[in-house]
Amino acid sequence: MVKNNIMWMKKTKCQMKIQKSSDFCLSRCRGQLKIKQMSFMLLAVVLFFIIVGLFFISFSFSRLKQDATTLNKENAIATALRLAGSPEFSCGKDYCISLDKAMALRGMSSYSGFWGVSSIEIWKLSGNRNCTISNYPDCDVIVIANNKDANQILTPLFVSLCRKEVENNAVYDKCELGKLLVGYKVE
Amino acid sequence: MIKRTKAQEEIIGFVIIVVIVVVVGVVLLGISLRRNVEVSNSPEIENFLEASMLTTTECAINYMPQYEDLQGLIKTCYKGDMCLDGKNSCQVLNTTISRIMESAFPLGGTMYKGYRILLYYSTNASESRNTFYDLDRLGNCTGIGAEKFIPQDPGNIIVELEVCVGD
Repeated sequence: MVKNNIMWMKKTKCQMKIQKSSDFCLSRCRGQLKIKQMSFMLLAVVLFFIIVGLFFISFSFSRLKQDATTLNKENAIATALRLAGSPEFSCGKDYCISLDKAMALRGMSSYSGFWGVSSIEIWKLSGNRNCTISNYPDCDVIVIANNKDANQILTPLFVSLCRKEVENNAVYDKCELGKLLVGYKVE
Repeated sequence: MIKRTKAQEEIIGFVIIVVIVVVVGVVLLGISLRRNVEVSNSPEIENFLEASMLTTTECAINYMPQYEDLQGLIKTCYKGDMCLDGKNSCQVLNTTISRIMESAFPLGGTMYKGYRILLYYSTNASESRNTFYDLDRLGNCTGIGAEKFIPQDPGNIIVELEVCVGD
């Protein structure tokens, strides 16, 4: 009887041990599953932020390129504007060139190399007849300087082209829209 | 029972995250699309507006030959004054602007696909506008543009130009 009892107790102990080990295994498996779940979640979150970051970077870079182009244009226009505002060309207002001064400057050898640019041309928007002393002001293009460099970038600037006119024995400024083309040599 | 509640909580959390991500995405997409539709400010157009305002017109107000420049003619048209030769200043303005635009941005066979020039008076940018000139040859196209303010006490006359440039 005692022997039987001892045997039963041993058996129960053994069963309890088995139960404990199986519980341990189950909780370990669930823990692993949770870790896997968490790692997948972390991976998804990281991927999401990478995609958002890439989208943001591409968006900001596209704007950067656009901003750089605008800045380059503004720089080119500023240089042409500085030239148009110089006393040799200006009619006294911003964006305004005196055609009479430009005609006087045309072909002046003392000014060759003074401007620091490859070419300076003044165009009326009406045509392409070259200006000479005989056909001025009924002409369209005044070439101030042209080094005839092969690699030139032309920067056009809208300007008002003014000249003195006489009507009813009174002198007035007659201005029309034109373009100042400034050429730069590309190295 | 506890397991089911936990699962439901996780699903609700997931749905909330998805909804937040979708809302943020839609907002970002909306902002980027709106930026594309807006007319971008262009230094070339700004330069054109500044230079063209000095163009001499065929309208004199005080005596001949003191002809108004384009900026003066815009003010004269807004005030409704007549030219000395009896012409309507707004008609002269229309002729002058059309001529300038055709020579600067010729349509057909060029890189320019259309333009729109709008003149309006406003005392404040956010308040109502009084549009008195609108030359619209833009069609269904958005392009580069700029605006110029002409002081007209107590407000400003605003010149808005938009030019559509193709390839």
